[in-house]
Amino acid sequence: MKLKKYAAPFLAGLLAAVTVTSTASAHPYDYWQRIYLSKNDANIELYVLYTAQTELLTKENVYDYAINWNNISSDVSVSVEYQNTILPNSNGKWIVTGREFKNTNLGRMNPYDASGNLMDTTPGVNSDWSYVRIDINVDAEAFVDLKNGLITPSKLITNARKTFLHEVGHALKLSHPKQNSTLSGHTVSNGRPYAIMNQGYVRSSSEAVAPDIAFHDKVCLKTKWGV
Amino acid sequence: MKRITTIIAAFAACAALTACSSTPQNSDVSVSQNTDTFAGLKLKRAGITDRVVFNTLDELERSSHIAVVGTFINDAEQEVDYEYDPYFKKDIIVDINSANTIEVTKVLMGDVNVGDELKIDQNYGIVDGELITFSELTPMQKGDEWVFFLRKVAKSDHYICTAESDSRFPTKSSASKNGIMPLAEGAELGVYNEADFNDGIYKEIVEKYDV
Ligand SMILES: [Zn+2]
Repeated sequence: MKLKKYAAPFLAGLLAAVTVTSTASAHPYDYWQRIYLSKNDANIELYVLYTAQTELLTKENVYDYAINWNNISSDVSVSVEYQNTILPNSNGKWIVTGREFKNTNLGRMNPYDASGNLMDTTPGVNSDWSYVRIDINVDAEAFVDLKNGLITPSKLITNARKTFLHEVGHALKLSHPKQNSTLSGHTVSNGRPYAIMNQGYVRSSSEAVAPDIAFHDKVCLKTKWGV
Repeated sequence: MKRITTIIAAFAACAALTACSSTPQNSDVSVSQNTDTFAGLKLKRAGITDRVVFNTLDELERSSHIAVVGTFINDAEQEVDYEYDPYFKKDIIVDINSANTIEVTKVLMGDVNVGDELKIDQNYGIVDGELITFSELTPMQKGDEWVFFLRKVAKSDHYICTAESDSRFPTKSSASKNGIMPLAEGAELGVYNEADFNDGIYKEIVEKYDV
């Protein structure tokens, strides 16, 4: 699949039509074009720093789930390592850090160029990323959905895990699905697909935010990176 | 621009956190921004920040500490956060913050008075001739008037918009008055991308508070 490396949006669309003929529900604006600098695939290693490891944000609750992005596209593989198990030399690995956001932010994904400059992530601006960092909110209160009434530990874990999987999805170049009800699959909540790549809390299944990687996310990943 | 290495900001942040980063954080504290220079700047929307999404005014109010109408009364001051990154083996920018003062002209909700001055933070700044923003909102400009739903920042006397474009809106009279930002198609709405504007909550606010 050398084609995808240089694929312009229309070629990616063509590829989508060929590879996922049964669905046609992925759209070029639900992911960023281009790839990573000097890489033909999306085999990424994540390195979770101490700063991102809290009582809520643990290996078992949250981070080990990153591998849920595996076995969807043959060109995507995600592995996770932890600062407490190996030497803190993360050269070649993408870092996951903890941050205390000041507002209701849950997480953030920052792509950089080869010189360490922040890259432009404006929808429609497409470039090869060199490196990615993921920030996740270490304030457990951030994952409390006031709308949900009773707050249970499992709801907190669901929202925290969803946030991390969502950020890993961004690192794999998936963006927020465009809100447009004329797009196939965009049938929930005023023109969004049911997907983990929507931002916000996980609520009922009648709302668009999925707790785990959903059909639309998988179609986008396969369209982006190949089946 | 003067770099203040690992002094005030880094120590304050470490003291406030239970688990202090093993990667020391540095801050650049720049002089205040000059609003007149915005027009000529190249815009870079950095990162993708994920936040809580509000569908109704009720949800927004429950997550906000105060709600006011206010006008920015001076130029913002910015702070750029750097962290050492083992991949690049150097400090890279991980966050940028600007703070500006509003004067409250109307109180919608919360313990605050007309005439109070509040510091508001937003994730953007000017670095090497670029306006770099992590925020969906257009920058704060002296003279701009908005409706704000705000949260108090922990361990600080500053506030921040509760949820980006779900929490800052034009007033009836400000839409045409607020400045037009470079490349911002929804500038009079206060957003870079018009799709980010929350029409539903805006209509509820206009109806409930007549602003
Ligand atoms: Zn996102």
